[in-house]
Amino acid sequence: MSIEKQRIPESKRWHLLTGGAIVALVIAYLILSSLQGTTIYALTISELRARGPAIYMQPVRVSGTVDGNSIFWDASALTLRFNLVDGEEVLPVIYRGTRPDMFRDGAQALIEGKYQRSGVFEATKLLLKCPSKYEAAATMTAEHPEPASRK
Amino acid sequence: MAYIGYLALLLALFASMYCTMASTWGAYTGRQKWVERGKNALLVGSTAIFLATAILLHLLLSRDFQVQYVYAHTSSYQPTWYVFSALWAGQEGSFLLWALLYSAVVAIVVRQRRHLPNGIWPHMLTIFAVIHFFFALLLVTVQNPFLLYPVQPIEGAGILPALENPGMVIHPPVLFLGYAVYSVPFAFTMASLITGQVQTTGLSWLRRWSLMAWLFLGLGILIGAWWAYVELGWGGYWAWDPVESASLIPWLTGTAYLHLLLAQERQAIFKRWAATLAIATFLLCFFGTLVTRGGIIVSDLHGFAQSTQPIAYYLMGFILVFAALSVALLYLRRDLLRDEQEIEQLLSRESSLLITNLLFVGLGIAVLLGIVFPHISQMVWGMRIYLDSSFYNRVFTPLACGLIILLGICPLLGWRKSSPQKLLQRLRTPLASTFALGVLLFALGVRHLYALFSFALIAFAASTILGELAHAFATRSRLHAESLFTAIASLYRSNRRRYGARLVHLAILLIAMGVIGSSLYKTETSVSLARGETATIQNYILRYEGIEIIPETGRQRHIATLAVYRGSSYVGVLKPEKNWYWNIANYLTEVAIRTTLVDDLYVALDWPEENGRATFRIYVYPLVIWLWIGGGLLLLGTLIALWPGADQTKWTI
Repeated sequence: MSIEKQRIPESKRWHLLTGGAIVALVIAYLILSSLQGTTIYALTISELRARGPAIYMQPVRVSGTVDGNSIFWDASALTLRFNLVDGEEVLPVIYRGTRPDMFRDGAQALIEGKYQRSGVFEATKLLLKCPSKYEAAATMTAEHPEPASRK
Repeated sequence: MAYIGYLALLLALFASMYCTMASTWGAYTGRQKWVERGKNALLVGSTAIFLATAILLHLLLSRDFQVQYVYAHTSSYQPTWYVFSALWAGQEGSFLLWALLYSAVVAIVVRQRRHLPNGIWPHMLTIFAVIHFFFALLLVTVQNPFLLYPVQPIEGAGILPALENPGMVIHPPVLFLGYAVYSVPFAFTMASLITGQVQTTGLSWLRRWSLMAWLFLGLGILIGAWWAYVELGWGGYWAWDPVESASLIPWLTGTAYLHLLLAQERQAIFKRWAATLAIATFLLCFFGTLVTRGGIIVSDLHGFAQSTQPIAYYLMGFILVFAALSVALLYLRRDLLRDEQEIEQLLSRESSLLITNLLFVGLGIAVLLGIVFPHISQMVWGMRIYLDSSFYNRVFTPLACGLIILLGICPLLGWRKSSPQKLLQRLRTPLASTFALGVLLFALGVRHLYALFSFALIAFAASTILGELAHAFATRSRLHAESLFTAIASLYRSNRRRYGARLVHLAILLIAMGVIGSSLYKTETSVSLARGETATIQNYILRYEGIEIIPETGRQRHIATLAVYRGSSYVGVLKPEKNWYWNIANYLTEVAIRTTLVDDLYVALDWPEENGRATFRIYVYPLVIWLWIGGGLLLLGTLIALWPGADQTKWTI
């Protein structure tokens, strides 16, 4: 602790400040540039319909309630079809993957994927939220593997 | 009984209110008597929280279902072990637990107050009392665990089966302990800002507490990841869900803070930074809770709150008030926080610490941005836009690589200045061994560019750390004419902190290795099998043998049996389960994992047998076990550095 107090020339302080600033700028640039292509719009079913053809190829996120009567689960083909309901709007969904544990009538679901020309939503990700009664518990998720992580 | 619990909470509220006033008065008038009174009041408040917790535990154990909290989280057939964990399975209970751990921390600090620099203690007491008051206020208003039903229900709803796991029993207390301990650096920093004496003494005391907070928070996060891996059955340990990420932010800023404290003990530098980080880390712990419990930020994985909860306003108020206060204090005391020494050279340990700090804070900001981005976009573009996990991966990969390089170079740099020639000379061996490992991995068939690069970096960092240790041991053994073993023992005794820190760094490298291996080389497949059919993944072959159905109280188990072969040799059976729980009218998956040092074979039963076929999801995760081994070493290394006596020894490099 007893190193004598000493001033150092302005030019040297300059170096350090510039060095620090450059590192900070690189980090900031990295964060901002990483936003590119990793964004997903969250839309309601009616917004999804209203955006028509423009939205077909874009990944979007839609949330709603699962209609229990519409669930069709093919365990051997790992295909789950159901209707997602949001108020008056109904969106038919097809999801290839595991049927999540808590998937049932009235479950709050969040789907990610692409809206197809045919009017069917092809979900690559299906997440469920527990009813509020189990507020403190984690819900189960099932995630369809992204092509990149697949060998 | 529940009334007594509520009364205890009220007592805690008034005691902390009294303490706030008494200690403020004592601090400003300099009357020791009032500070003592305040201290006693705060201890009464802490005891009251302890009493309230004991009462809630008693109500849970006696299954008093008239208490809403007991009804919602226990049932009469629940194993006693999980009745204990029901104490923090719900929101109210987990706040009570947090308050309890916080009270314990405060009580310990009260005992150690004589070690604190002069004049700081009365102000610290005020800060502690305000935080205590806030907890008590939450517990008597929006988070009251003692609410009653007008009539007594005959049976409780029970704990969610997914929480019935040892990981979930210890994850919340460890995490909350980390949150609670971070109040110590916070109170210390705020008090030194208020008194206007920026401390140079008491730093080693502060470092111990910060290290402890850092350890608990880190372990808590790791245990949470382990729980998600073995229990949730979605096939991973980390998904960048806001709830998980929110607890990572204070860990990142806390890590940065810890490194600054080390630098500060040597030289009076980075004071402003350190003060800011101490405050930010503590407030970010509350931000984490706001994310989890507030219902403002929509979480994917965790079904906590659905819409904005009243508690969100309390938490936001708390964070904003303290943030405004700290900004004001930091501004008012800006001259005191001027660094006494300047960094002289770009190539020195100080400047590499500065870069380390920038990287950690950058990571923290990135995670924070990821969490609040939908809200920013809502405000700016009127539309919710989420960031998917590839955002985090893109930011973390390069920054983490930078951190690993620094971790390797830092021990080779001297304080104040180093010469580039000397550095290059010391880097020669590590660089050579890194290159050799790269070639070896390539020869072994690793073709993934990222993997080659990052494993090489890890090898580089590990070899500089180990090389430096070997060098120190060899020199000592030569100079003192001791055997190598005695040299190691005496060096270790003379500087436990340093070796503890090195061990922690090696542990971090192991964790990094596990993360890289399991994320870059994960393979998975979904198959539907009839009895006797096989599935192949990597060099594993699994044969479906059959399914057993076992009815039990509360649930019906479906246990599938798979025979596992590695190549052509039989290695054992895996029994994944899918169990029907009557209380939630749903299936829950129980995965089966075969762990080796090289990879994990992870099997989930996706659907029990239907029309003669059962559906499985199978993963092979390389190197996952190193995450947990690294966690163990992290604990060990930190304990070595923390163990009483480690402080008295010299801190020499």
